[in-house]
Amino acid sequence: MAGGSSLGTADLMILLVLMRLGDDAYGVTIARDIEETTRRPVALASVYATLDRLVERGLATSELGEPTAERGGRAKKYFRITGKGLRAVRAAKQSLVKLWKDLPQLA
Amino acid sequence: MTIQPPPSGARLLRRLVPNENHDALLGDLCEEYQRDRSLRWYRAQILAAIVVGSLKNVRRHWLLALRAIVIGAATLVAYFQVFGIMVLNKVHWIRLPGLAGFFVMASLFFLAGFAVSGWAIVRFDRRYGIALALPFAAVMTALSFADIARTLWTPHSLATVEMFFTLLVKPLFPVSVLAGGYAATRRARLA
Repeated sequence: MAGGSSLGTADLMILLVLMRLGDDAYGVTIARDIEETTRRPVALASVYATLDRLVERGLATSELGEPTAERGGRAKKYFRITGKGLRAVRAAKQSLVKLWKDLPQLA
Repeated sequence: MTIQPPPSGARLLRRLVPNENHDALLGDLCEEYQRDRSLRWYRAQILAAIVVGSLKNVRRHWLLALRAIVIGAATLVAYFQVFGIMVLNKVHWIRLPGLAGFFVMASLFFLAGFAVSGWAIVRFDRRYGIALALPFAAVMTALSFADIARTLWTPHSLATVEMFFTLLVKPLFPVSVLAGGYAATRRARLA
């Protein structure tokens, strides 16, 4: 894996969630998906901090939706994984699988 | 009709972390609050947003954070030089109401000094809200707790008043820094 595209656990987790959610990936759905998967409470602010970092690195893109009354007139910010993000996820998977194979007790 | 969370949370977030766009986050919090989340959850999320946003600012602007520590230390030195000497010169005519009174006055004098240093740090550069006061508050926390540890390790070396001061007042130094910093932040308007 190239040094520039190395992913931390939070980065990888969020990129995977972006892939799972597709067009419906915004703060609430992403945080809920992580909470359901990890069974731990998630701070929305840290989800956004990770998402902003991924956007800065070109691994994800963001787009504003329409403001709604339910959200106090504020727009949703939708996120989507980029081609570079997809390649980084694949590379991370390959590295992890290689490491996993050498540990039969975790198989 | 939709149930909106109290606006004070959004106002506080915008006041303490002014350089970020919080609209999407606040919209998400609003949506979740209406669904099934408690006020406690909402407040915890706002607090997390303040901490995460401020730490992000410190990481991004670490040179400014270092400068803030210097500004805080310089303000403290100036405060104690100017006001300390002034108080010492006048102390003969200030009627101190006993040892307890002296303790309270000295504590307030010190806490005011730390609040002034926090105020000066944020006032010097208000773009990043409370963030730049955090490193100085962290340094003060470390120094205060090192002092507390020293006091607990060798309790006989200190007079009672000094021990009380170390155990009760010194932990409040970083709180004073943040309170002073908060006072210097710009009041935020709700969008």
